[in-house]
Amino acid sequence: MAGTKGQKSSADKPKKRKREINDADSKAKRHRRDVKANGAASSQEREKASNAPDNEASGTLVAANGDEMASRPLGDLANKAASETSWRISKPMGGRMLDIDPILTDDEQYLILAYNTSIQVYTATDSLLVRRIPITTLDSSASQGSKPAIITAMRLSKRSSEMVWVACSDGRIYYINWTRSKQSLWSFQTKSGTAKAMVVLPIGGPKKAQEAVLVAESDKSVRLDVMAYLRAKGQKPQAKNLLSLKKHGNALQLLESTNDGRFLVGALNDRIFVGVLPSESVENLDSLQHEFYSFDAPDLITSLDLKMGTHMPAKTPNGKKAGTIIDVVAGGARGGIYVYQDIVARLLALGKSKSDKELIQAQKFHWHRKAVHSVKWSRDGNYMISGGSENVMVTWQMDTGKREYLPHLSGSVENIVVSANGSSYVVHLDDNSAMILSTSEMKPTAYVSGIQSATVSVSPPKDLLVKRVWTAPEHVRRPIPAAVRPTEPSRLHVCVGNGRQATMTGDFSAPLLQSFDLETFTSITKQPLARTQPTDVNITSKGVPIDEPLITHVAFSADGKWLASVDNWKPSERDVVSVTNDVRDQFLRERHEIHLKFWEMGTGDQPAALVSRVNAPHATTHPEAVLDLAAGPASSCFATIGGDGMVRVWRPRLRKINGIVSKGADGQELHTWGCSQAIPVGDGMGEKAVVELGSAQPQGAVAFSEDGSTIFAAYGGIDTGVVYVIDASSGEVVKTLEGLWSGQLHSLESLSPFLVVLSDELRVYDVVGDELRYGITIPEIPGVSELMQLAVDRQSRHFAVALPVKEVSSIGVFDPEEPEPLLVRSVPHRVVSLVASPETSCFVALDDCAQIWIITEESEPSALAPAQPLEDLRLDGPTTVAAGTGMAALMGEDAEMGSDDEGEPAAAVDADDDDDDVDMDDTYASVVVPQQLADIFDAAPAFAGPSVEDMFYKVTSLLSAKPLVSASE
Amino acid sequence: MAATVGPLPLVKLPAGPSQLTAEQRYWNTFKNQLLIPSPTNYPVTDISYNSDSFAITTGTRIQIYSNRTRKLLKTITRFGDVAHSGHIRKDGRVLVAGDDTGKMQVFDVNSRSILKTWTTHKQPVWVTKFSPTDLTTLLSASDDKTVRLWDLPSNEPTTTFVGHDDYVRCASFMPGTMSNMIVSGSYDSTVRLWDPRTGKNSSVMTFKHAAPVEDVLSLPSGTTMLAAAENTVTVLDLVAARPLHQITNHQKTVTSLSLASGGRRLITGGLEGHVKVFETTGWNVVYSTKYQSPVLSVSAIPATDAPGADDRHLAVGMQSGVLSVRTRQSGAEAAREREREREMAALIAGTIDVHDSKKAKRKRRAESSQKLDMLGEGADVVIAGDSRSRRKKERPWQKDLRHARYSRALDQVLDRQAQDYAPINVLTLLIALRHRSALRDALEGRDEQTVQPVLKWVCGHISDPRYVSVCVEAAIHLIDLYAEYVDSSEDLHQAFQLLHRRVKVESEMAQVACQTGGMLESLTAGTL
Repeated sequence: MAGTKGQKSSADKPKKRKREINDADSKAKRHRRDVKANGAASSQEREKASNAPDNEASGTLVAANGDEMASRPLGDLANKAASETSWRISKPMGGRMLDIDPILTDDEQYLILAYNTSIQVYTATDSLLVRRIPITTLDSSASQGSKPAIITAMRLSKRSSEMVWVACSDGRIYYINWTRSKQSLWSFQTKSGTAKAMVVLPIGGPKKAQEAVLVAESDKSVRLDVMAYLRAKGQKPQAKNLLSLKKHGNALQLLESTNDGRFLVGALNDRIFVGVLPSESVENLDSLQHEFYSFDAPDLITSLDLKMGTHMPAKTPNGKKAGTIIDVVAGGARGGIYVYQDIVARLLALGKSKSDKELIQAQKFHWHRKAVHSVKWSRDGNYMISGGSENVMVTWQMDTGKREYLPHLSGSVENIVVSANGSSYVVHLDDNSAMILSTSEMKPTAYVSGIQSATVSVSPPKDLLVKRVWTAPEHVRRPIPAAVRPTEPSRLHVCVGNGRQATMTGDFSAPLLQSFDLETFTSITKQPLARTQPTDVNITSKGVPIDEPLITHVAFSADGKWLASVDNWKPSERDVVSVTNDVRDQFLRERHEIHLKFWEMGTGDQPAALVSRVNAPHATTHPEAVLDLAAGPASSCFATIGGDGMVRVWRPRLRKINGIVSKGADGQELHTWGCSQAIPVGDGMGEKAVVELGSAQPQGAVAFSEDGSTIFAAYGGIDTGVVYVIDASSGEVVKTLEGLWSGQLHSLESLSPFLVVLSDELRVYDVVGDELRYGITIPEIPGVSELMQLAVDRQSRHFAVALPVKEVSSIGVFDPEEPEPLLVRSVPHRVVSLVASPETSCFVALDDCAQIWIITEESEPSALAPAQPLEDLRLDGPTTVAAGTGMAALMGEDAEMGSDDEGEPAAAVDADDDDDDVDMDDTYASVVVPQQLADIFDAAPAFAGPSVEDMFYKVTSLLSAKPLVSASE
Repeated sequence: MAATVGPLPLVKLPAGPSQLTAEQRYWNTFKNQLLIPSPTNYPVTDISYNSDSFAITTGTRIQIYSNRTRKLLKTITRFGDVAHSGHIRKDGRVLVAGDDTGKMQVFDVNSRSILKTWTTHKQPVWVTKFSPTDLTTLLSASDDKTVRLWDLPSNEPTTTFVGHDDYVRCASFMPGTMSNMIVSGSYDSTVRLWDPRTGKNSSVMTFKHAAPVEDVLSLPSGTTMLAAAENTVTVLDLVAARPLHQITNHQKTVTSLSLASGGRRLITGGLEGHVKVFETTGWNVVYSTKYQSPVLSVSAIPATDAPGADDRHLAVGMQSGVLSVRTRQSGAEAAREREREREMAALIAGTIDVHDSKKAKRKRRAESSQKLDMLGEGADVVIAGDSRSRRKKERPWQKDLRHARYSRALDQVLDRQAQDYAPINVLTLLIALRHRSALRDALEGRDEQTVQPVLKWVCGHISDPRYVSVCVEAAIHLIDLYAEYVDSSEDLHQAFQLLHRRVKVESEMAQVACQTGGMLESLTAGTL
């Protein structure tokens, strides 16, 4: 289909040229049609006047060929398309790890991580996802505009290691068995409808083991209530208020407890409270009667931990607590770490006078520049481990105050958890990754990483609790460049930064390219495409984060051999204060660094190799921004359009020295990329165009036709709406199409013979027929229009549009022939990246919570590959275990049984050994070492593994006797 | 998961147009030019060589020089008229030459006695050559339009090739197994290929050219041939019998062709005095040099007879009668030469003791490392691919930069006494400081003394277009920070004054450039 269209359009080329000759004539025609269309629209307009707020805009935007099709806001179409079934959108996958302490099970087999709306269980041995338990996850079928509640706390149950307690921001507390995928969630709602922090206390003796959940609730930031809830079967849980506290401020609420629950410590803003349970055991909720003491810390508290020591028998006024020492460590928002040793005894002594205004003195350790994100005691209490936005994990020896560092981590440290036996740390970094480090070698034993693209902040960053010279934007303000390599349709390449904080603070910076496998849902590599200094100090002496370059565009060539990237960096205005005002702008513009880079993609997981770097690919007197980058569909070539009003076509050529072709190390010919054509577009042609545009930022987009014979380039300031049609071989502007876009231009794509333009309107233009197919007004959404995106799928000949609507987005799939969308769905987050996967007809959308949504056509068999994980990962269906998907879990459950089996046959072999060594193989061929079975079943996660048939044959080959040929050897 | 520390990559400046290529570096190593004026003042018309000597023909003399020492060994003067094409046989024992009277003489090189004389040609004989494979076979080409093959003992030519319509000025045997065939070029603008085995005495292949053919040369493969006709050199394919390529890099007539680097390079000399080196796949110029007089003969003389031997001399004979010999020293020789020079310099400077002790130390170290090598041979386990040794070490200033000690990093990199001082390092650091918003930090808080190196460096490089952007930025910060102290410090005053002068000169030059650009624009606008 694509081929015939291509021919058609090339056959039409002479016709187009002819038209150019009598251009004036065709223009007049077009104008006439516009008038007619306007007339047709006006009647519609009157009908729709009530629900179309932007009459003016919709008036000019009409379907040119159909009277029944009129302009209307896209939102209206949502209801109509609800019945469509041919296209579907998957459930979300992945997500953003939250700033909640991960749980490492006591046997160190499983790692449980809290995501925005779900918890995910990974194996600690091979870092693979075992299951994803959605808790508040909304999929696209949810009612439009609803936002899911966010998980705020997660604790392992004290009574059963299979259960976790999860608290959500809407006050719901869930009790979940993490070893099972499908279950009915038991939950209750807290009194105030909020939950900020939570701990779990064991209650009752050995006979009637129960547990109480203590929730820090707060509907105002100045107030904190600690409520205790006791789970009761089939009825509302009993509740009891333990403490109410008020403290002025706007910071965090924290709550921690010792294992036996006798001691509690919490914080509200800069006030720390300590709760002590007088009795050793608590039978029911009524006897849960903590004595609370509170005091002010010198700083806002961002992290807390406590340890219980028993060795030093101390004389305390309260005889009951003899022998227990509670040491509390608190991290401050200004970088100090405060250690309160034996705090209970000191509080008791002080508490006699009941003057909690008096400050309790703390031992202060200060190394962190900004807030201490996490601080924990080691299990033996001789060390504390802290981390912050310096990307360094610090180990403090308490006796000497000596520090040891684990520097140059890939993001700032968010959470540190010490495992139950103290042999490993779980470190959660803010680049959406978590790893398990062995404490002896400080080497990672497991690593879990999701998509590391910029995300919306769920809670205010701890670094921003005090006033800083910088701020972090709450939302992702620009689309994140992403691409799928045509030869590897299952891999998504996304531009990411060094951790979320580094990405979002200051100007947006993202110098790395992460390649992410959608089939196995694991991060493959992360490669810098622009300058980055992960090992350098990431803050200036004035406390401002250092900006790194931002990759603005990436594209793969059609053969997948080449990658082109554009990165952009400009110096901060703060650095040029000594330059006189009138030349400051120019000074900054001249120092703008814009690079166009061409990379040769390696085979397998090898990193891409830089082939050519073009400094300032578009420049006038100073480097100009590259507005768009497009890959040619046929040959290895790229086109860029820049702020200087030029379209440049880049092609590779053999690298020659003195006419001799240079060869690489393995004898392959080396290439270098250069500009093969420079085509001025815009009225003024080239440099002068910039002058004419004046203050208005030039906008541009470029696209190749499907056969590569034509380049479409849109260029202009606000409200010009011109698209230039360029013959790719001669480089001549053969035609200009006017009025195709208005306002802010977002994207231009070609789907021969149609041209799809997304600006403040969506227009589909038939290039061959020279007529506007249809146009749709996009309802005006202030502030977030930057994130509007368009992707075309040339396989299925459809295109998708993502529109941000306040906090959510809607995604629509269209046929260029039909103005009625085939699918309109709402995604409860903002879509920041929308790409079409070549070869398989599907669209991949990435939202600002690092979740992936895949939009596929149901009847498309080739689309299955990347869509497979979206078949709910096969993780939450009852069939999944049987189908072998939950194999890792299966193996885990059978672990004990397996080890029993192992003993017997081994003994049998030993006994027989005396008789005959040679016979052993044949006689006991059916003895299968569990390791071999594990190799087959755990080779890959179930959804990426071999087919069931293959696995069956592998297992049977293990069990069956060896073939005769090998036996005779 | 944790990033490894690597050295800061140096800034890559755009490659200038005049960057030396490897080929240019190679041909530039032909040094020690020896200019030998001809005693007869006749032009040097021919150069031939064997493994240990080379012979040049100038006027009525043939001079034989030693390949090793470049000293004159023998002179043969027994010619009645101007001699041509003194060709030394590859064993170096006999030499053949023709002269303007049409006489061909064979000399014994040792005794310089005439062994044989042929007077068959009645016109000047321009080419006489020994066969590369057969010791007793010769060819001759003469203005009598014939090319003849001779056997040394016999008195009559074994074959006479007739076919050229004009003077035959160049001829040669084909290389390798085709060496019984002859190629010749004539002033009738043809290149003809002759085969004595056909028995017809006529050419087997003819290439017509646009101008008289001055020289012919066959590549070692024997299937490709080069012919110089006026200012073009044509590459001829003998298999397909058609021209492959035309080399038109010379302005005037190309007089001489020679192979170099074991047949992988072509050297041409022209009347405009240029000698050019071409590679033999795409026929691009890889090196070019100019001589003071029209070049009549060029030859690259290899060090040994072995095929593919290195070029040792580049000999160029000129119209003015001067022979230029440039020599390239091989690695060991060059090292010896350097050592000798250093020793001499030490002697003159009176530091010969220091020199000797250093030499002894070096020798000891070399010996001990050799011993280690011997020990290493018996190792049981050899660890291959030790990547650690290959990793570049981080320089102290790079470490300072990483730890945000910007001022110290700048001081270190600006230290001109340091071993690894390079302006590019300073540029790299300054740009890195810009990227970290730390340029001002690095320049702040200096006193009269410590600000000097920075100011000096900025003054020194502000005129370089590649450095100007960062120099301007640094200068703006320096002025902003230190301008108030200029009155109280003489040094600072002077340094800023120098900076002012430099900037003034630059801005004036920029103005002139702008004016010129404007003028050119109006000129081109007029032509449109």
